[in-house]
This record gives sequence, structure tokens and C-alpha cells, in this order.
Amino acid sequence: MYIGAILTLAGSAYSTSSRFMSNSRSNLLLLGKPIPLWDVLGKSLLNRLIERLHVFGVDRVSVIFEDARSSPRESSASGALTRRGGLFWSEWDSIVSQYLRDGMETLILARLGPYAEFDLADLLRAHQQTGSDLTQLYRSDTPLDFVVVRAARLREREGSYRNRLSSLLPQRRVYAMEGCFNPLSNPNDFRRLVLDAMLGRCSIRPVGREVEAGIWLGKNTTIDASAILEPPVYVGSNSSLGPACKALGLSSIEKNCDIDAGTTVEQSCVLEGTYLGMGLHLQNTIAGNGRLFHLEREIEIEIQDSRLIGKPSIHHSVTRAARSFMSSVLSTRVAQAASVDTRVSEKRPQR
Amino acid sequence: MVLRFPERVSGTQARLFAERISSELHHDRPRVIADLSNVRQIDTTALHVLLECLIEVKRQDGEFYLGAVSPEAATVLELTQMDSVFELLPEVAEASTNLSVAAMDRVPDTPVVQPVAA
Repeated sequence: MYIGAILTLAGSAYSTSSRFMSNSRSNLLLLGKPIPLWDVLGKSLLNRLIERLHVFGVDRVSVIFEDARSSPRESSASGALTRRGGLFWSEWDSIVSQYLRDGMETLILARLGPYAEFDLADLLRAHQQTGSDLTQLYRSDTPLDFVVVRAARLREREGSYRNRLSSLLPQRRVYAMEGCFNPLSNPNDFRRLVLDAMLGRCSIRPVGREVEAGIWLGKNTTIDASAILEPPVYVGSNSSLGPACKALGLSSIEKNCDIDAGTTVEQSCVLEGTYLGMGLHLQNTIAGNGRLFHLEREIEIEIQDSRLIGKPSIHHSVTRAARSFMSSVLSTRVAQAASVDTRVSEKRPQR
Repeated sequence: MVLRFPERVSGTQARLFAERISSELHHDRPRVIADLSNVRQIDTTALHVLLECLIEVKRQDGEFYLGAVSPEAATVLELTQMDSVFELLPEVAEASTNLSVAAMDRVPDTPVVQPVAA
């Protein structure tokens, strides 16, 4: 059976576009980017969903941003990506049309918002066995933005595919999900999802290796010998923690981050590609993209001073290498001086 | 003396603040409150200048406070660990009454220096 999927991402925090599938809230931007695009313990929610869809037999996955200025992406089963351009609904229709021409039998539509864990194989099976034209995922009495559609019905009717789809909604079948759920409607929800993942309360697994109980490191991480990692903690690939750094209180540091000397990350998430300057104390905060969201005060601020928060640069790695070199030179000289003193004291006659 | 900062505080505004309080430093035991209630952005250069002002006031055996610190300014102070360096006041009005300071003035957003109201 040929299964195609179209995933949509909200492009702005306050989208006023009509929602044809449910009344759930629009996606919130987290520090300037849709939440599903940020990594959670090494991989974004979008990529985790795409992988899961492929595992359960979905042949083609297309990703469209609701923001008309953004380009949709397409992933085949081999993982190749292609890009298209254009307005959202015309592009959506175009993708559905292409899928139908290619012989698609089942179409999965999802708008990435809440995080929901459910048995996808069971949902597809239920959809097939009930002979339903459209099956929608529900959590209790709340419809979620995840539907499975019988493609044949989209071929039969007139008008745009969007209109044909809308005509199927009144007869939808309900599939009630049971499993981990997070509305992801604000940054605190995001932090809660990271905590659930680190504590094993959902099926999200860290990308990396558990080097000690509760300490996961991605590939090519650099952790200074004087840095302290308090488990559970996650440090993503290619990230570095400088001298006297601390990661405490269920903190996560995603990939390609650079935490400079003396900085403490406590009960916080550092999103991918972030530089934290020297001697800082990040507490109860999500940091990334040159911004901070303070989880308790529920405020977001932009940090324009790249010495505090910015992007890792070659300058930082050169400075760090120079400090490390000088440190090793000094410790060698101290050791040499100590050995000279020892030799001199041994040669002095005992009185 | 109480001086209220604008929404965006860079080194420029902080240096203007330092100039404004310089007259206060001639008094015995100067008392200065930097009102941060309107601050939405503050950079490290501004924090350094405020630190220099604190040191200067303390040299004169005076008192220097950050008053009514906005959530945004408080977040930056915590991030840079400067919240443990400055003395913070929750309310400016009450503190200014207790300290009997001069009339409030406003540090402008632009570098133009305006005369202080009497």
C-alpha cells in the first residue's frame, strides 16, 4: 500500500488562518522558530516524526510551512530532500495531486503542534478495518491535527482537494489516543517535554551515548576535565563545555553549542548552535538564537551582546585552544620548577 | 538622586547616567537609585558602567541601588551574576521617600544631554 504524508508547520505565532481540522491553538514560536524544528535531546520533533512515519511504512513525506514565504520540503523513503516554492494551499493541492498521480492509496495529514505518542500502526489498521474515509486522532474529546484519509475519495469529487477533504470531515471516525501528550503551546511545555524525555517518561530517546548513568553525550563533545555534569544531563554532538563549567538540574545542551569557561547551566535548555559567554549563570531558562526565555517570569528577551549569548565562532575555538595551550605550558613549567627544587633540596647537605 | 532609565540601555545611556550622578558624588555620603522599571534591554557595557558608578559611590561612603528592576533587567542581572553585586530595591517611590533624594529625571534614549530639572 502506498502511503503519503503531508506535514504542515505553522510559520508564525499568531496565525489567523482558518483551521479545517481542529480548533487547537496555532503553533507557538520558541525563540523565533517553530517548536517542532528545535532539537529535543539531539533531534527535532519534526525529524523524529518523519523517521517514525517511514518506520511504519509511509513512502513519501512532504513538509510545508504555512508561512507562504517558506519553502516546503519533501522526504522520500530514501531520505532525499527536495524543495518547492509557492503559496501554502496551492502547494498543498499540488502535492496531493502528485501523490494521487503516483498511486497513493492512503494519505496522512498532520499539522505539527502538540506532541502526541500513539500507536501509528494501530491507527492505520483501524482506519483500514473500519473502511473509514477519514479517521481523526482524538485525545479525550479534543480533536488533534492528525488524520488518515482514503485517497480514492479525493479522486472522486469535484473542486480543490482542500474542499474535497472538508466534505469528508462530518463523517470522520474517531481514533482515541492513549499515551504521552504535551500541548507544546508555550516554552514551559517545551521544557516539560525535555524533562519527560530525560526522565524516560516518554519515548523520546537522547541521540548519543550514555557514558555514565544519566549522562548522555553526543559525538565529538568536548568536556573540560574541570567541568561538572550532574545527571541526568544531555550534551549534544560537537558541543563543548569549557573549564569550570557546570550543567546541573536536568539541563540539556543541544548540538554545536559552546559553553565558555566558568558558566553554569542550571535547570535550563541550551538550544542548538548557541554560544554562552564566560562566567554566566543560566537558570530556569531556555537559551538560543540570541534570545532567552525565562521560564518562571515567562518573558523572552533578545540578547544583542554576543559576548553573553551568540553563535559559536572560530574566534571562540581559537581562544579556547590558546587558553588550553597556555594552561598546559604553565603546568609543564610548574612541574619542571618543582622537580628542580626537589633536586636542589636533595643535594643540600643535611644539617 | 533617582534616575529612571529608558527601555534600551546601552553604554551610551549608562555613561550619561554616570555624568548625571557625578554632581551627587560631591556630596558627603551620596545616595543614588537607578530606576530600571522601564528597561527592556541592557547590555554588558551598561552593566560595567553601572558597576563603576557603584564603586565610585561606595568610595564616597554612599549608597547605590537598582530600583524597581524590570523582569527583563533582572534576567540579565541574574545571567551575568551581577544581581549579587548590586543592592536591589523592589519599589523606587518608597525608597526615594526614605532616602529624601532629588527630583526624578530621565536618562534620554539618544546621546543628547538635557539639563536636569531642579
